Amino acid sequence: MADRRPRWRRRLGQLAILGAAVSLVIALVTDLQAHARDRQAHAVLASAEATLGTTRTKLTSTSRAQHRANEDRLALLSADAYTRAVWADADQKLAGATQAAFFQGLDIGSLQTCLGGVKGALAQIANHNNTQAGMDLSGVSPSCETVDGGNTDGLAYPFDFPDPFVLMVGGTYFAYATNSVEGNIQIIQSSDLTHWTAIGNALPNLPSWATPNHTWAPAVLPVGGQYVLYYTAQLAKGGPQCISAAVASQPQGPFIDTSAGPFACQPTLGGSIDPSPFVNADGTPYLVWKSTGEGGQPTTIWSQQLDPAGTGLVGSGATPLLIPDQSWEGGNVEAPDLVLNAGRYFLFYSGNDWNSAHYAVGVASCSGPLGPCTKPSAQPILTSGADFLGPGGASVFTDQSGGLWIAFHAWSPGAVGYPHNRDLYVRPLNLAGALPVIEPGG
Amino acid sequence: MVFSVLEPQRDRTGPVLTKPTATRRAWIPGLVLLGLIVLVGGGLGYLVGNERQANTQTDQAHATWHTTRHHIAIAVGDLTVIRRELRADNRTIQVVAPALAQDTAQVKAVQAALAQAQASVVQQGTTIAGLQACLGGVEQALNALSVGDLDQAVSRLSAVATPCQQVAAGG
Repeated sequence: MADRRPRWRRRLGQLAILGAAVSLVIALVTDLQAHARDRQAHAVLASAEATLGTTRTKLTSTSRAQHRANEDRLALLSADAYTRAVWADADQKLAGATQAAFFQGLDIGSLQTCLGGVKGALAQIANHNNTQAGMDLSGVSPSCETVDGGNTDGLAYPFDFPDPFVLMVGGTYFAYATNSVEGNIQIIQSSDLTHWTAIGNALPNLPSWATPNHTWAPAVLPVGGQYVLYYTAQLAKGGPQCISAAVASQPQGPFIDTSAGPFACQPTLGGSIDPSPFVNADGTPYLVWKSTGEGGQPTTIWSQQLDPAGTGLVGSGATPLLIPDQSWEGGNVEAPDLVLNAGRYFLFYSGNDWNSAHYAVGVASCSGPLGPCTKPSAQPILTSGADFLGPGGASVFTDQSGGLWIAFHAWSPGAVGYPHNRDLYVRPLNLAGALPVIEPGG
Repeated sequence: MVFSVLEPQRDRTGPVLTKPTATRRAWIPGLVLLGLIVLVGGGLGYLVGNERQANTQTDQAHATWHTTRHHIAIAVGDLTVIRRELRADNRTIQVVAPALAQDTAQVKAVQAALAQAQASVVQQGTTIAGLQACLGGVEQALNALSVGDLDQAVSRLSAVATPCQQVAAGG
């Protein structure tokens, strides 16, 4: 059976079939390629997601590790900071303890040196060698001064040196005091008011009427080329205390007392003590002292003119200058010291019980050597403080350049009352104001 | 031969005898062609649709891949930062740990020295107290003896005999 369609139609049909087959093949290949790409893309995506998962896992574990490391780091830093703080604190304490130990070592050395000197002086006193005892004390004076806190508060001589009186002669300062280690009247000397050396006993022998070991409150008046020592002595056989005088050709003594009886005494007033000479602007000498006030009489400070030689009293009698009328005085005034400065008379005195921490120094203002005197303040000008207790027995003197100083004795803290030491203090004095001002020492 | 016999008849009778047979025969290729067209068209349609779907999925996979890569980059960045911090922390730990150990040793040494110094201070304080007590008593005895007060001197010395003996024994 022959195809009777036109040839072109057959060709067209064949071409269409061929085209359709080619199209199908192309479409099939394209589809396969698309699927291949899709699979590849999904494979890449899966790989990337796997990578992301791995990375996130690593990130999580690393974050945990970093968190732990950070905690460890912070803990370590905190521990180190704490350790350093503990270290610094311990270091500071160690420095303090080391310093304390060092100063303790110095204190121990000073104490041992001081104790050695005092023991030596004790042995010398037992052998009745007061002069050597004084030398022993002088030798350890700096160490003993250190033990008592140094001289920043004016401590000058760290041994028993009560009722001091200071006299300057030719650039040398002589200090006299109540009987103690160095003898009846102790005497020490200095060139700078800081370092003091014992001379010994200024009054080696007492008059026969005086009781041994009861001589105190000395004061010296340079007059007519000689030196007159006024001091308190007790009459023999328990009699009253009276004032005597001794003479020497040089300030360090020895002073000789040839008296057959007291220089001045007020038996009816309980006796007389604490003599202190005063020279007025016109050169007239006076003596001020205290009556002890027994028998219902008040303690009183008196004044009377001396003869030109200073060895006798003149006039009709003594003039009372002061009695206790202030509460701080505790019913007692004593240890007078009259001072003339810039036309003003100052009467320094001590009040209250000498054997206590209540002892103190006051001042009165006087119109002249025989008074009258008034108290410008109801309070003392020098009282117990942190460094010393019960100051008293003051005396005022002038240094080489005209500066005013005040010497006084005082107990050390924790060591108040006989037979503890009454150490010597020397401090600058200012009389420019209405009331005297005792400047800091050292 | 049959054809040649019949041919004139067909020619004569013409349309009555040959026309229906020729028409049926003429439809067959058309139907075949139509079926072919439908088949090819359907196949092409399916394939094109399938390809489009595949392409779409590929595009989505690419988009997701890009997002994932972005996430990977962020994660890697974070990881890098954290690793750097970890290394820094570890370095700090490596430095601080020995320093802490050294500081601790120093503290122990200082504390030991402090304890020793404090013990020394206490001991020296005791020595000082003994020396002061002894000195105070000897001073008082000295003062009492210097004014002939022998009883007082003996009393004061007796009162400090113990601290003086301890001081003497302590060297």
